[in-house]
Amino acid sequence: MDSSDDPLARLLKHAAAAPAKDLTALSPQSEADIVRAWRSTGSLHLRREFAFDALLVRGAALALTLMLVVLGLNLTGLADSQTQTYAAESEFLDLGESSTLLALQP
Amino acid sequence: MSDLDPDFDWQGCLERIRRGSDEDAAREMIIWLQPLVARIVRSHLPRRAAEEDLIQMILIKVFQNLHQYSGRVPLTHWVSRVAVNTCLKALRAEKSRPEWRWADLTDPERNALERAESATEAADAAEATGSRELVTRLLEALPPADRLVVQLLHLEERSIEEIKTLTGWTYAGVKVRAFRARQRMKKALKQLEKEELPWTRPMIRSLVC
Repeated sequence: MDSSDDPLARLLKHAAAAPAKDLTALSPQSEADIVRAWRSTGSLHLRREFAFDALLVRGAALALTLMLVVLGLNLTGLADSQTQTYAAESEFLDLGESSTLLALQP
Repeated sequence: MSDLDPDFDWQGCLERIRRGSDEDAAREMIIWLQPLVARIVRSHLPRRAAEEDLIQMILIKVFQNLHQYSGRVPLTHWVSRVAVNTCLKALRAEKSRPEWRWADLTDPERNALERAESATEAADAAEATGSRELVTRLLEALPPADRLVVQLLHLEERSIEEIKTLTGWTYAGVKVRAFRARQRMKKALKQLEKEELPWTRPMIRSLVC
């Protein structure tokens, strides 16, 4: 920014040259408050992490149980359908056998 | 950054803090970071906020989110960004922005304005302080982001790259915001000049000198 004919530029330049004031120092009480806040958050983070881990384990266990149930139901269904097919086939064979016997009768 | 102790082993201290309950390490870190945070707070303090309260709030925020610090940038950069963003948030929380009148200015501030108008250099530290106070008044009337960019660019004389890193804005964003902020400040200065009655100038000069 050219300061030759710009009052604002000159003002900003003068202001930037102002000596810095002494910085505020925190009181021991403030320092203790920060440490206390950090400690409570630290344990909060740990609690959250543990809670999350526990939730993860429970979720995984539930998912595994559901998978086993679904697998079990599928297997049962498969077995049932196989039994039904077998019964239908044997009924058909019985029918065939009885009609053959009927035809062979003198 | 020059306020910080360059010999301080911040990485070792951070490691001790992260490991768990080392309060001494936390205190050492607070003492080390304090000048950096205080300098940022001093530059961007809202009108009604207490400096110590804001420093404390920033340091609490830093410690509470220390697990998010990835280590890709120096810790001081990360802390500066947290501090700048917290100050910006505090400035945004200010409900009103004052409009200053010529009558509100103190004598050193009026003198600083005259000096800026007459293209003469600030003679001593007291006059530079008057300029700083006048600029602070003008900044208080600006929107928070404009105020931040003028403070960083013109008063702290930081580069646009540095401001980009501190605020997360784009290069063009910083330049445009700075330009608009200067336009607003010029308008406010003109307004003050208009209010100033010509016959008051010699009187003020005689009062100041």
